[in-house]
Amino acid sequence: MFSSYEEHRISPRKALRTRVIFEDELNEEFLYFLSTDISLSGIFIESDIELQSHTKLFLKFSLYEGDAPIQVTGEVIRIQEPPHHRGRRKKNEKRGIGIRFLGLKSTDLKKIEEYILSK
Amino acid sequence: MKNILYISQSRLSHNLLRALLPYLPEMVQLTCVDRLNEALLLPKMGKPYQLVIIDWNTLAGHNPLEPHINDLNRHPLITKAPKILIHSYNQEIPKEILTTKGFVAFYTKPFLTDELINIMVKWTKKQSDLFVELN
Repeated sequence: MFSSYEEHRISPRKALRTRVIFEDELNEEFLYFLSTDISLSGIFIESDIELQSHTKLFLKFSLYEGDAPIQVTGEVIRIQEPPHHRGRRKKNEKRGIGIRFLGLKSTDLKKIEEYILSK
Repeated sequence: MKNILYISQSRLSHNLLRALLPYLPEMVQLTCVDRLNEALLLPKMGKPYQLVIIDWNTLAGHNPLEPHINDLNRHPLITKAPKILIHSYNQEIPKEILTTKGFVAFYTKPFLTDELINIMVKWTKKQSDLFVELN
């Protein structure tokens, strides 16, 4: 039985280091995280804290510096604990959180597709 | 245990702040309210708050601002607590007025989780140090 996110993945993904901002319901930025990679179906972020699975969030991020941000609702679908070394979590290792896009606009989907296919 | 009061109209931010509590070095009891008026109705007996975090979204509509802050400062559990304001980067904040009303710091959103945790640790620790000095 497959158990990891890697093995379930169906969309190709590409490394992306950008600020992923969590907005609140008043459209104000509240927290931000750094992403590690992106696919057409979602984005993976580094986090010091654990977010509950199925938590829905308002996300904002840019693929390139200075680009208009992509704004989309996301749902936490995967918490990946950092690798342990001899039973201990390595210092500075953060957990990863997989967030699935919900209702991504077709124009933003196209932008992400172009980003993933770019060299 | 530390006692923190958070005043913000954003319920989502209440939840995100709560999600940070297990990562603080000390146990924290967090009380969240949406508006200043609700803070005034909080119980007046008990352990004083060691930190009050106020989002500008709860103050922006109050004009003049001072009477509302004065009311807040009269609450016996809030009187001595340092108050910090969090706000969006593009908002004009009357820092001079707020400083005279007990606001000790102003922080621009958004935060990395570490940054927000450090803010809570820093200001609750300062309050504890002050308490030790006074006694």
